[in-house]
Amino acid sequence: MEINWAPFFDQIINGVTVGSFYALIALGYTMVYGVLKMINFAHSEIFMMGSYTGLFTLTILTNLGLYERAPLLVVIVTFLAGMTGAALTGVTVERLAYRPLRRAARLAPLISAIGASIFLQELVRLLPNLGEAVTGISIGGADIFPQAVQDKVVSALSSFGGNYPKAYPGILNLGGIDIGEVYISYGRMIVVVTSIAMMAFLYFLVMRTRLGKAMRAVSEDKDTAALMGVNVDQVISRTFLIGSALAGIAGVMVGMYYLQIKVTMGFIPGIKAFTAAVLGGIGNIPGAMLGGYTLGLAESLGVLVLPAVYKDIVAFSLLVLTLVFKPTGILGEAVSGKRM
Amino acid sequence: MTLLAAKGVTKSFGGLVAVSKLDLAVEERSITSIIGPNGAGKTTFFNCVTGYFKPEEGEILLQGRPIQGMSPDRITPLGISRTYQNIRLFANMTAIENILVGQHTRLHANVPDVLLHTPRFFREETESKAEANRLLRYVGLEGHGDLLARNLPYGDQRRLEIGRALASHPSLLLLDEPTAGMNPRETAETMALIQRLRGEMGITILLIEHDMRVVMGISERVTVLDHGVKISEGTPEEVQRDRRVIEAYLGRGAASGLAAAAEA
Amino acid sequence: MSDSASSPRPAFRQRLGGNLRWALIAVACAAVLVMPAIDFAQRAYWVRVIGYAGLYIILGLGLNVVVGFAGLLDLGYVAFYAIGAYTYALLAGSQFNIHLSFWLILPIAGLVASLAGVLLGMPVLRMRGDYLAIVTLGFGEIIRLLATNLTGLTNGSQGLYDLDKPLLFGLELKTGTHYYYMIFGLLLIVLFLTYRLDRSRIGRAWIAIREDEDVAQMMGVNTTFYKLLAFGIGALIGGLGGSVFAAWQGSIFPDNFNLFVSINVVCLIIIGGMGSLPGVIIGSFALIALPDILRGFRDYRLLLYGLLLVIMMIVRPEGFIPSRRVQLELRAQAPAEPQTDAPPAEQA
Repeated sequence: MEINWAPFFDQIINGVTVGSFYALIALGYTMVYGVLKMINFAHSEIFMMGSYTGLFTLTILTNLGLYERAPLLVVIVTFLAGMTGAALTGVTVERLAYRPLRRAARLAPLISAIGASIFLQELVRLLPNLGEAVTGISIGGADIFPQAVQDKVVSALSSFGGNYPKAYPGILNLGGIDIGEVYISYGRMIVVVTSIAMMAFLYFLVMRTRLGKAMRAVSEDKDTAALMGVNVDQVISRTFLIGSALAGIAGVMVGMYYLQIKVTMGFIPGIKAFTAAVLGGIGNIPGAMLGGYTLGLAESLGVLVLPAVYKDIVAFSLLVLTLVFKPTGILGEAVSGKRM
Repeated sequence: MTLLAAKGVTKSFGGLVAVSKLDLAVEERSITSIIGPNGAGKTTFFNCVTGYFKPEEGEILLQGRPIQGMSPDRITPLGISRTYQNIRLFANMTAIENILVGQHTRLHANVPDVLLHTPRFFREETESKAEANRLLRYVGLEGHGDLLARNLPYGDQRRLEIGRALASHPSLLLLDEPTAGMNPRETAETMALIQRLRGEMGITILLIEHDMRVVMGISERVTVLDHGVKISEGTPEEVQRDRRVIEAYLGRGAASGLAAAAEA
Repeated sequence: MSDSASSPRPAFRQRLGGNLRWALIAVACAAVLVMPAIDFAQRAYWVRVIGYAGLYIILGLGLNVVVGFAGLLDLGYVAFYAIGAYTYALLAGSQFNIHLSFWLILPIAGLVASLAGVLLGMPVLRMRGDYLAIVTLGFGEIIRLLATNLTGLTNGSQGLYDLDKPLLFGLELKTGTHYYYMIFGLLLIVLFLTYRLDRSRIGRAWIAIREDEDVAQMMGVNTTFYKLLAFGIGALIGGLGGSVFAAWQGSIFPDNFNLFVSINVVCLIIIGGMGSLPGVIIGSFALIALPDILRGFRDYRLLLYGLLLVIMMIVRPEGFIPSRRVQLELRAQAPAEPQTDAPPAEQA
C-alpha cells in the first residue's frame, strides 16, 4: 500500500517552526528561573511588547517609504526595535515589580508578576484611550492641548496599541522551494535559522563569557556570588535583558508569520513556552530548546490524530503530566520535592 | 531500655554521602548529644528520624518498631517531636496558635464537628486552649500567647518552639542547636529547661549542639559525627579524650570550642 | 512591664472601636437588606450591581479557603464556577430535557465541582506554589475550551439558554430582587461556615501549611489531606456560586467563564487581605461594584488591578483588611526589644 508521507513531513516542518517560537520564549522563562527561582509570569507580555514595538517601528519606516528602498535594513531595524522594546519592558518589570520583593514570602513576587502581566496587557490595549484622556484635560473649559496635538498623539498611540487586533505585514511571505512533494517556505527557514542562531549565541554567552559565569554563579547561590564580588542586581537585570530580547525576536517573527497580533497574543504561546521550559527541565538552557521543539512537534503531529481544536488541551495536559511524573523535565533540576 | 535505635542508616544526596552506616542507640529518659563539625550529617540524621528524608539503607526503630520511610505526620503521633536549627515557627500565627497546631495529632474535631459546633468541638477547644496556656507558662511565655510568633524576641521564639514540640506529648524530643545565638544567661535557662523536661515530663532528649559547655554539662552520652560517619561515642569525658575527635575538629580548624571546653 | 502597662485608656478606645465597628456592620447589613424594597429610580441597576458583588463575595470566600487559608495559589478557580453553572444548565434546561429542581441541583453542583477540585488537586498538590498557579491556570482554560468544543454536551459557543427558573414555595424566582436575596442568603451561609472553619483545628492546620508546609507536616498535619480538603471546599463553594449564576442569568456561554473571572477573584482576596473574611467582602465591593458604579472608570479596571497588585505586594502585602492574626499584632504592644538580636528569618 502506498502511504502518502507528505502531510507527515508538512507537520514536521510546521512543528519545527512553531517549536522555534516556543524555544525562544522558553529561554526567557528558564533564564529567569535559573537566577531568581521564580516564574516570570509577565514574560508572555514581554513577548507581546516586542511584537508591538516591532510593528510600530515597521509601520513608521514603511510610511516613510524606506521599505521600498532598503527592505533588508528595515527588517533588521524592526527586529532590533522588537528586541529593544521587549528588553526595556523586561528590565523595567524586574526593577519595579520583582526586585523590591526579592526577600519577600514566596507568593508575593508571583502575585506581583501577575499584576505586571495584567498591567502591560491593559496598557497596550488602552494606550489610545489614555492618550485621549491625558491630552483632553482641560482647565476651566480651556483645553491645555490644541485639538491637533490631541489628534496626533492619539493617532500615534493608536498605531502602537489599541483594543483591536493589528495586521502585521507578511514580510516573510517570500515563496519557497519544493523538495519532492514537500513545500518549505523561505519564511519558515528564516524563522528556524534565526532562532537556532540566537540560541547558539545565547549558549556561547552563558558558557563562555564573564557574564555567563556570573549568571551561573548567581543561579547556584546568590549570597555566595555576592561575597565573591558578583554584582547580583546587575546580573539579574542583564538576565532579564537577554531573555526578554529573545522573546522580542520571537514576538516580531510571530507577527510576521501569523500576520496578526493582539494584546492577549502572549497568553497561549507564553503558557506553552513555559510548558516547553518545564518539559526540557526548567533552569536548563539546552533543555528549553529541546522542550520547545519537542512540544512544537508533539502539537503539530498531534493534529494528524486529533482535531486541531484540541491542540491547546494537549499542550496543557502535557504540562500537567510532566509536572506529575517527571518534574525534573528531560534535562533539568527538580522543581518539586524537598531540598535541604 | 532503648527508645530510639538507628542501625546502618545511610542517606546521600547525589554523590555526596551525608550520613553513612550510622548506628545509634538512645536510652529512655536519657539526654544524648550529637556533635560534629559543620556538614557532619547531624541535621540530616534528624531529618531521617522525623521522616523528612527517607534513608537509602538501614533501619530506624522507635520502641522496636521500624519507622524509616514513614511520613512525618505519621511519625509524630508515635512520639517524636523536634525543633529547628534556624527557628521555624509559624511566624504569622500567635504564640498560642503555634502550640495549638502542635496539638494537632491529639485533637480529633472533623469537618462536621467544626461546622456544627458539636459538644466534642467545644470540649476539645476548651481543653486544648487550657493546655496550651499551661505549656506557655511551662516554657516561660505566660501572657505572651496573643503575640504573633514573629514578634517575639529571639530567646522567646526558641522557647516557643520547644513548647510547640511538647504539645504533641512526645516521648522523644529532638533539639537542633537549642542554644544557638543565645547569651550565657539564656543558655543556662535553656539547659535548665531541658533538664526539667527530662526530669518532670520524662521526655528523652536527643540534641545537636555546638556549645561544648552545654554538651558536657547536660548530656549523658555523646556521639561524634564527621563526614557522616560516627567517629566516637561515649560519656562526655570519654569523647573529650578521644584523639579522633580532637583531630576531626583540629583538622577543620575549629578546635577552639572543644579545646576551650577541655581547659575549663 | 510594658505590656501590663496597656492602661485602661487604649482598652477603652478599643472597646469603643469594637462597638463602632459592629454598629457600622449592622447599618451596612440593614442597608443592603432593605435597599431593594425602597422605590427609587435606579433600583434595578443597584440591585444587579450589589447582587453581582455578592456573588463575587461568595466566590471570594470559597477561593479564600484555598488561597488565603491554605496558601495554595489557584488561578483556575473559574473552572469550578463553570462546572457549577453547566451542571445547573444541563439539569434544568432543554439541552437534554431534564428539569430537576434548583434546590436539588444546588447540592449536586456543589458536589460535582468539589469532586473536580479533589481530582485536580490529587496530582498537583505536591507542586511548589508557582507551578500550582500555572497548572491551575491551565486547568481553568481547559474547562473553558472543553465548554466551547464539546458542542454535543454544552452547545459550544452558542451557549445554553432558557434555563428553568427556581421555585421557592410555589413562587417562581425571576426578578433581580429574588436573586439578590438568594445570593445574600447563600453568602451568609458560606460566611458562617468559612468563619467556623477558620477558627478551628482545621483552620489552624491550613494556616500552618500556608506558613511552613514542612513544619506543619512535622506537627502531625496530614498536609495532602488538608490541601485536598481546602481544594474540595473551595471548589464546592465555587460550584454553588456557578449554579446561582446560571439560574439568575437564565443562559450561559463559555465566555462567561474566562480567565478574568479567576483573576478578579484572586485580586479581590489579595487586595482585601489574604485569609481575612471582612477583607473578601470589602475587596469584592471595591473591585466588582465600585468600577461598575464609577462608569468612566470601568475601562481602566484591569489596568488598575494590575498596578494595584504590584503596589500592594511591595507596600502592603497583607491587604487592606489584614486577617485577624495580623490585626492582633497591630493592636498588641510591641515586645520590649522587637527581635533586634534575631537573625534574618530566611536564613537557610
